[in-house]
Parts: sequence; C-alpha cells; structure tokens
Amino acid sequence: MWERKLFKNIDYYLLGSVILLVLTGLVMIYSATRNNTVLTGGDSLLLVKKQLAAIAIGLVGMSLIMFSDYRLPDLMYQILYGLNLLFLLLVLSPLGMEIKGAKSWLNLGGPFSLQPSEFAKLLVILTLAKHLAEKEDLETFWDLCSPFLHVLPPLVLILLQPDLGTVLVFSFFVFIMLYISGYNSRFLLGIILTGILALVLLFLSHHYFGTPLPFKEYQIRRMTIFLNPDSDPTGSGWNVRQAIIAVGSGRFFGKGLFQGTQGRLGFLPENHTDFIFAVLCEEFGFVGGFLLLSLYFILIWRCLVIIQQSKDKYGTLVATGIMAMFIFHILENIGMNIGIMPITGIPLPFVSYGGSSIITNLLAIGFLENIWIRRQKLLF
Amino acid sequence: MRRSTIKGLEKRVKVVSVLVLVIFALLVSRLWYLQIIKGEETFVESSKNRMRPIRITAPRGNFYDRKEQLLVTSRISHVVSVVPEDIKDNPYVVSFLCRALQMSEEELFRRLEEGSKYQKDQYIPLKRDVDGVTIGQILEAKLDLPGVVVEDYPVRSYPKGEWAAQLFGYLGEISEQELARLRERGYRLGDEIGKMGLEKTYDHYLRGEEALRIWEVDRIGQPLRVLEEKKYIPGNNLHLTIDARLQETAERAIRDYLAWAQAQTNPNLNKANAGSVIAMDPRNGEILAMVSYPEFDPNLFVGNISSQAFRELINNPLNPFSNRVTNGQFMPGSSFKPIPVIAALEEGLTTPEEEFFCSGAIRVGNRQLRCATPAHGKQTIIEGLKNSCNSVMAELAFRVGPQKLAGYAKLLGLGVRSGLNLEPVELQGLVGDPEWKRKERNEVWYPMETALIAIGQSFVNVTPLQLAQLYSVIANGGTVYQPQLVTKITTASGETVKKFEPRVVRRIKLKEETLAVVKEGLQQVVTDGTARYAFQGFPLAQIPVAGKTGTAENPGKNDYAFFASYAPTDQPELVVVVVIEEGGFGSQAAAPVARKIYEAYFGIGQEQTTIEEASSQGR
Repeated sequence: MWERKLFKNIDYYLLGSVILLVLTGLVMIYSATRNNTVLTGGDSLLLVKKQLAAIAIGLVGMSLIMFSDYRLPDLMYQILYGLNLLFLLLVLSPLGMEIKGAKSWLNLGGPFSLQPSEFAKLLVILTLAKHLAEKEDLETFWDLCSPFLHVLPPLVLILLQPDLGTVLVFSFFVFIMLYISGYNSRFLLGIILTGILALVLLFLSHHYFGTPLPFKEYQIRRMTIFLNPDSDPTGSGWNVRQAIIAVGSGRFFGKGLFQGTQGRLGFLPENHTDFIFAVLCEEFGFVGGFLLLSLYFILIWRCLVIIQQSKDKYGTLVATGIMAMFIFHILENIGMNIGIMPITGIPLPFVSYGGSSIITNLLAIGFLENIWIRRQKLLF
Repeated sequence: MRRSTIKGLEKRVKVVSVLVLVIFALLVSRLWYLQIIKGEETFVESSKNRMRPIRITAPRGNFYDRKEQLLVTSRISHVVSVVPEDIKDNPYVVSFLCRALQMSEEELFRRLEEGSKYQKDQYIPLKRDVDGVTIGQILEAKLDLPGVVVEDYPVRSYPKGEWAAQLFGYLGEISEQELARLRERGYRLGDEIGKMGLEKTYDHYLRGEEALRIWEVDRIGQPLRVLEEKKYIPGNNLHLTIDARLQETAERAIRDYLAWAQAQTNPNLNKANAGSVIAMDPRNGEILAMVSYPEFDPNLFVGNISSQAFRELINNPLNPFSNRVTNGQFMPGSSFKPIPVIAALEEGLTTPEEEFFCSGAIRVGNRQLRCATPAHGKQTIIEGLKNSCNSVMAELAFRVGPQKLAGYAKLLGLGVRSGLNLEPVELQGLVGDPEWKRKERNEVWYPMETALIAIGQSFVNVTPLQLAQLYSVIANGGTVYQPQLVTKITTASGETVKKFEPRVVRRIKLKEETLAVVKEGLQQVVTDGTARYAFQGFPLAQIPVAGKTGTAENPGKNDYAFFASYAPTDQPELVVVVVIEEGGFGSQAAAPVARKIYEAYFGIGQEQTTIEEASSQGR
C-alpha cells in the first residue's frame, strides 16, 4: 500500500531520461575503448564492466535514498561535512594518487579508486542547502557571509589538488543556490564582478610586475587554448582541434556506430571520459548530438519542476544545487567538445566513464526523486 | 495550491530557466554550425587524419635482345618510406633512421622537405634498395617507428653491368624540371625516371602503372591496416634489334684493343683511350651492336648512387655518359672518299676507265695538298679508292663542285639526322658547302676546301651512326633506312603493344655502274689496300669484306682511326663502323676491331686471331 503509492509518485520522465543517458554512455564507452588495448588489456568490455559495477552501486544507493526521507537529522549534516573534508584531506595526503597533474584520487586497492571531489559536490549541496534553509531572514552581515565560509574549506582543498574544473562547478552551483534561496541579486552580481576584477588584476600584475600567479602555466594554456586552437595545433590545441574534427566530421547522420575514426585511431585522447561527446557526435552525427541534448533538456526541465514543487525550502535548494551542477557539467563538457569552453577535466553526467562521477550523479537523482515523491505532505 | 517557503521563488526560477534555455540554444546552434555547415570540410580533414597513401613503383619492363635473351630486368628489393608529417617531430625516429640508413640528419630533413612540398600526408620514399640486414633492424623496431613503412620495391637490374650503358641508359630520381614537364602524365615527386638511352626514350612504356595502397594509421602514424589497394601494372618489355653475342664481341674487342694499344711504347698508339662501334643490318636498318667506350655501370645509379662514384664519372674527361655512336662528331677522313666517287660517276663526269695521275701532291692556288710518297702515278678511280689517293678524290671533287658534292653526301646520309629514336638525340653532323660557309661564317669558299671535303677534312663532321648509314646505302644499293633499335613492345603477359617495321627514308636511284665501281674499290681496300694486313688470314674468299679505313686529324690530339665496312660484298648482311679515338691509323686500330665482329657474326675462326695479332699485322 505504502510502497505502491511511492512507486506511483516516481518521476518517470526524470528516471527514464537518466536510464537512456546511462545506456548511451555504456555504448559510447564500448565504442571508444574496445580497440584500446592499452586501456582494456585485451578485454574489450573491461571498461564497460567496470562502469556497470559503478552503475549498480549507484542504483542501489539511489533506491535507498529515494525511499527514505531526504531530511536527515542535524547531527548527520555535521558528520557528512566532516567526512567530506576528511576525504578531501586524505587525497592530498600521501594516500592520494596523482593522475595528469592533479591529486584527485584515492586508491582503494586493486583496480578501484575513488574521486572524493565528485562526491564533494553532492555533499556540499546537501550541507549548504541545510545551512541556507535554516536562515529565516537574510539581514545581518553574518547571514550574507556564512554560506561562503561554509563552502570555503572544501573549495580550498579541491583547489589544492588542483582541480580547477570542479572549483568552477562549485562556484556555479553555490551562486545559483544563493540566488534561488533569495539572496539579493545585486549583492551576488557584485561578488561575481569583484571576483572577475580580482582575476584580471592578478593577471595584469603578473604581466607588468611579475608577481607570481596561483596557477601553473599549463593550466592557463589549457584554459585559453580553445579560443584559438590553431595557434598550437600539435600541442595544447591538439585536443580541441581533434574533438572539433570528430564532431564536425559526423555531419548529419554520423559515420555509424563503431565507424568513428578519430577516437579509435587515437587522434582524440580521453575519448571515453572528457571527449565522449565527440565520439558520439562522430558516430551518430547531428541527430545523435541533438537527441542527447534533448535527454539532458528533459533532465533539467524535471529539475526545474521539482525545484518549484518541493514541499520545503531545503528540498528546493537541494534540487537547485543538483540542477545547477548538472547544467554546468553539460555546458562545460559539451562546450569543450565543440570548442566554446576551456578544457577542464569535467565529465559528461551519466555518459562519461568514471565510477565516482556516475555514482554521485545517480545518488543525486535519488535525492531529486525523493523530493518529488514527498512533494505533498498530505500523502504521508 | 503550491506552497513556497521562499519569497519570489517563481520569478527566480524563471530567470534560471531562461539561463538554461540560452545554454541549450548555444550548444545546439554550435553543433549545427560544426556538423551541418562545416561538416563536409571537417569530414575531409578527419579522412586525411588517418589515411596515408603510398605509391609503389611497378616493376619496369625488361629489355630482350633479338633472340629473346634477357638484357635488363628488375629484382625485388625494399624501399623505406616515411610520412614527413609523422616523423619530422619525432627525434627518436629521425635518429634511428639516420643511423640505420647511414644518412646525415641534414640529408634526411632535406628529403622530408622536398617530399612534403607536394605530399604532406603521404609516404615518400626515403631510401631505395635497402639491404636485408637494415630492413630487419627497421622491422624489429617497427612499433617504435610510427610513420615508417617498408615496402617491396622492384629495383632495376642490369645483369651485364658495364655493357651498352649509353644505349640502355640509367635511372634516376625525377628532377624538378622533368616533374614540371611530366606531371600531367602522372609522374610524381620521388619517381624514378630514365635519364638517357632507351630507359629515357621509352620511359613511358617501361614504367607501367604504380600500385596505390592506402594505409590507415593511428594518431602517431603507426600503420594499422590497408584500407584500399590498387595493384600495379608491370611496365612493357622492349624487344631490341641488338644481338647480345655481337654486342658482347664488340664490347670485348674494343676493350682488348685499347688495353693492347695502351701497353705499347709507340706514342702514336698508346694514347688510344676511347672509341665506338656500331653494327647495323643494311637490309633494314636494324642496329645489332652499339658500343661507346668508356662506359659506366648503370647499376651504380640504382637506389642511391654514392656521391663519390658519381663524381668520378662526372669528372672523367672522356665523358662516359656520352654515346659516341650518336653524339660523337669527327672528321671522317678517308672513309668519306666514296662520296666524290659516287657523285662524279652519277653526274657522268668520269668513267671507270678514265686514268688519273697522282704526282704525290696537288697544288691549288698557292696551297698544296699532299698525297702519298712515293706518288701513286697513273690510276683509275677504283685504284684511287683502294689506295685512298687524295689527288684522284680532289680531281673528282673539282669536277662535281662543292655544292653538288655536299648534296650527294646528304642524300647518302651524312650531315643529316638519321631519325634514330634514342635519347639524347643524335647530332646532325656537317657537310659544308659555299652557301653554308657564306651563311654561317660570312666567308668565301676557297677551292682548296673542295679538295679537303673530298678527303673528309675541314668542314665535314660525321657521327659513327651516319657513317654506318652511308655504308649501308652503298651495301644495299641505294636505300636509306631509318635505323632501328626496337622491334616491338610487349606487355608483361606477352601481348604486342607496338611493332616497328623497317622504315625506308628514301630510295636513291644509283647507276649499276656506280655501285659496281664503288663496291669494287672498297673490296680491294680489304684485299689489297690499306686494310689488307688487318684481314690477313680472314676467309675473304667465302666472306668478302668491303670497307674503307680513315685517319682523321684532330688538332692537339693524336689522329682518330676509322674503319667503315660491310660484308659479304655480294649480298651484304652487316655494316660495321669502328672509331678509335687517338688510335692512329684506321688500318691499324679500327679495322682489327671490325674484323672481330665479322668473325663473330659469320662464326669463323675466332680462336685463331687474337686482337694483338691482327693489330700487329696491320702495322
């Protein structure tokens, strides 16, 4: 009786689009890695299997979250916040693993590793939503500043890895959450402009007075190369150029499943993670790219509905944070595949290979469904 | 009723929704731009990314002699090809190749630069005919050498080595100028092309059609599989008029003679260092042997000639690259003498019975032309030919006049191109006359010059080929054939592509009497005249030989020796012309070489006469 009602209330648009995205992801991961023996060690299905294992974990987690109340006891938030910081600290300790210049992974033994910064996104969304939901008014200076102080410690730890992409994701969803929770728009805009001004000053002073920059040179090059990939076509511009070639050469209908050449022959690196969208567009063309964007559109549309339908402020803010995280990932990842965004190692939600990412995203869906199912107090 | 605990939530969500819509619109329109508007362009780029065409030379056509003996062929070797784009930034590959192929880095980069001028994303040959050990090294390291492939490669092979070199020619990489000219006909950078001789003349037939293979490569240029392949069509074969046995005899005879002469102490003999031989069938113009000495080994140019060997050839003052048969011009001396005889008889200005008188010299104006000591005295024109008497020839020339004399020479094949199809094109030679002298030099003709022409001096230049033409016309009774080197061209499977029939350039109506007199005179040269010692012991009764020796002055050098001849006199089958540069007297130097060729042709007593004997007898 109770359970039947629960199932009846599930948002199937949301769940359906997520399942289709996950399946698309599995097919594309197979297409991108089946011939890459360095990666798969001869078992062309290895990465698909690993991804499936992560999906299974994610689905179990999602179900558990769906069918329990999203409102946790107060102590739980403090524990989650603490755990988050602990894991982010562990990554920076000698236990952390460095891959491609960023210390973002924890080795769990064997082939398994964990990327705490992926989970950190969801954890910060939950704790920040709780923090904001408890504020009745936003009048004192402390009220305005406390959310930033709340976010600062995990953000600094991620910046130390350094994982600029994730920092950007954080900044984006924090501001959207603050905006939705009723913060003064001019105040928020002021902070954003101040931040940009500070960056500009930092670069100007570096250029004219030689003051040190908090970024490494390759980071800056990676962030700006998309503006003119032909300036260094074999160096940092390579990825952008090859991704654009992959996407463009798909034309309307694509080259056909497994017929893409850019990824398979190694012209496009990271084609199962960062550049999986390019693989899809090469093989399925504009049609495939458009359909994928449509699935994401359904996902975001449902998020926006859930934001408004939530029975309380906390639910609204959690849904807002998750929506903002998704939309930024979509914009940033697809944007770098088609040459309009800088290259940061941000995965495409539900599609890119990566266990921590897909588990986090599935858990996030669990929270969204939970908020949706419990939108009307009367039912319970 | 929906509850909201946040003030103005709906308005704020609307703002965020607009932001979301803008993001999606941005992504979709960019996707449309890349895939629909720019799609075709990028599609081509993605194909270029992974496809590396390689052209594989087809085996070149073979040369066969007139008895189908194989003279020039191809053997399978290997070529190392690279994609300039894929290796130029890879220091490991560059240094590996430099070491393995023994190339300097500058040389390698020069080749890459040349190659990428036209074919950036294609394989270009880096080094041809690479030995098996090196190929093994490269194949072993294959996985570390992206952008490099080893392909089978047919290499030209001249099994006979230094043999008919200028006739066969040699191969070399196509030059910029050749490429500009031949690009339309499908020639490409890096192609090998015939640089002279038959290889050049018939290159178009010989080269066949190259194979095209398109490799699919990965990002670093490692070839993965063949996407497309078009097989090659082997080049066509040339069937030559050359008789390998006779050519071999000629090659050996001229070397033997020069070796013998250089060993002599006589300063008139031991400076002999170069020469040429041509043997031709007077019945159809087919060339049976053609030697120009010194030669080179065309195998040297296969693959990669060492610059040392090349410099030596280039700097050789005797110029081994010159085909002396077609491109050596000499004053013919006495071998010219049939011309005034034919002209005078044809013009009716003398008779076989008329007696001339030789006083040992003739005086023209205040100049004097010496003949022999002691003087020949009374003699007919036949005796004049036999004794090579300058006085008789001068007298005949005066009667005919210089204009007509030159006319007859040209009619009979001197001073005009024979039409032989062989690169480089033959020289035209020269037979001067008063009109020519006025036009070319703006000078008047002196009577003495008429006498000099008659004995093959001054304004007369002939090639050995032209002399062979002249003696062929005498031998066959008045027909000028276009000399031929190729009888037919066939495909690799044996079908005839082109057939060359004997071609008559012109027929000259000569009086029976004229021919009889000239032939008689030329025969007596061999039986009783200047060439009699050289043919001592030769079975002239069975194989009567007719011919004329010549010794031409050559300022600053020793005299050039000539012998132009044919046999058998009644029904001539073979014309042989021999020139020995700085060889002294024709009777001594050139005739013995010709004798060896007749002996080989008619299959007589070769073991009995060595070249030394024949030459020392001629002394």
